Amino acid sequence: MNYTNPLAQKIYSLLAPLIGPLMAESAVRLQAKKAGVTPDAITPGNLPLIAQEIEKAIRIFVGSDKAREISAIIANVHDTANIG
Amino acid sequence: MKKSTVAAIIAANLVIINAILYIFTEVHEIANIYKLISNVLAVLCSITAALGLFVAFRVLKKWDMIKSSWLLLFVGLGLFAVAESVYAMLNIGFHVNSAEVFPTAADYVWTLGYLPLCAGLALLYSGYKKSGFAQGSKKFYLCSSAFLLAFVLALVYFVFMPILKDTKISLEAKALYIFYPAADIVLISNALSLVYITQLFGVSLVSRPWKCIAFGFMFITASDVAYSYFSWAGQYDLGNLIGMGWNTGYLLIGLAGFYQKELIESINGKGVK
Repeated sequence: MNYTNPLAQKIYSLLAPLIGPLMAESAVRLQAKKAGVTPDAITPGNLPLIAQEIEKAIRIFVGSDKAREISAIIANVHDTANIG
Repeated sequence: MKKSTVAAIIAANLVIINAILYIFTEVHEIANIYKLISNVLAVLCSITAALGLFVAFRVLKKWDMIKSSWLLLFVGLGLFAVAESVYAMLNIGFHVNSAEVFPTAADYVWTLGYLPLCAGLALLYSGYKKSGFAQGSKKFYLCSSAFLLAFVLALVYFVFMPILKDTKISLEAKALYIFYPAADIVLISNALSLVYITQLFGVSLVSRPWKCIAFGFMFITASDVAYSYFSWAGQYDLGNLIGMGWNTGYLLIGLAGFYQKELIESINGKGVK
């Protein structure tokens, strides 16, 4: 999956090996929708909510600790994404 | 080489060795040797399963739903490993003919093991339902419910009814002959849901442990049903293909634990390795 938005692309690239490409795409779309935007319109301001929702979702697979680690990476993904 | 790959190779080799030994001893009519090997292999495989689940439990740091699920699975398989050891001891050490004596002390331990196993699987499944991930199509749940119903009806008609009508066996034995497949229905309904869920994820790190657990329990269920029927019909003898089904199931479940450990360790502060 290729997003024009580097934030969406970063989140997708982080999740794809973990939950598979299909679920990663669906997670990005679903969590962006919860934040009231499309994947290509995700801004750094949407990241805390998206990170929190993804943390809740993946907890059952990786446990609370690791889900929080993933969540922290997503919340700060704008630091590493090549924006603008 | 990754530890889980080594564990998978060992597990596959054990299954192959199991099959070769079975064929070899059958061809050379030395079934007694296979009975002995079968006992030892069952103990080894069940201990491997319990060990794998313990590894997965330990790698999770914080007490939460997932850690509780792995603990319950570990306790259940741990009890199965104790039961296999008692069973082997009775057969090898005390020369108890398991084809004639039913139930044995081991059966009560097995019975006890089902409770944490069912609870562990149900906890995993209910946790997934709350995750917000895709639940799959209603068509699947309708079809699998129909399949499960057909399976239950067939079980009642072909296995439960003849056992209940049999006046030669004790009430205790009847209860246990029925208990195994009945508990397996609970296990398999959760396992089937896990199989379905994991295929929605395709190839991914999170789906591997769940896939192994689900298929492991399917092997155990199929062997339990066959055991109940053939044992009641007086056609069950230690050291047969049913035992291989149990061993394969145990090894798959053990492998699940190693995959879970690998999954947890693949996540670090920077991402997923």
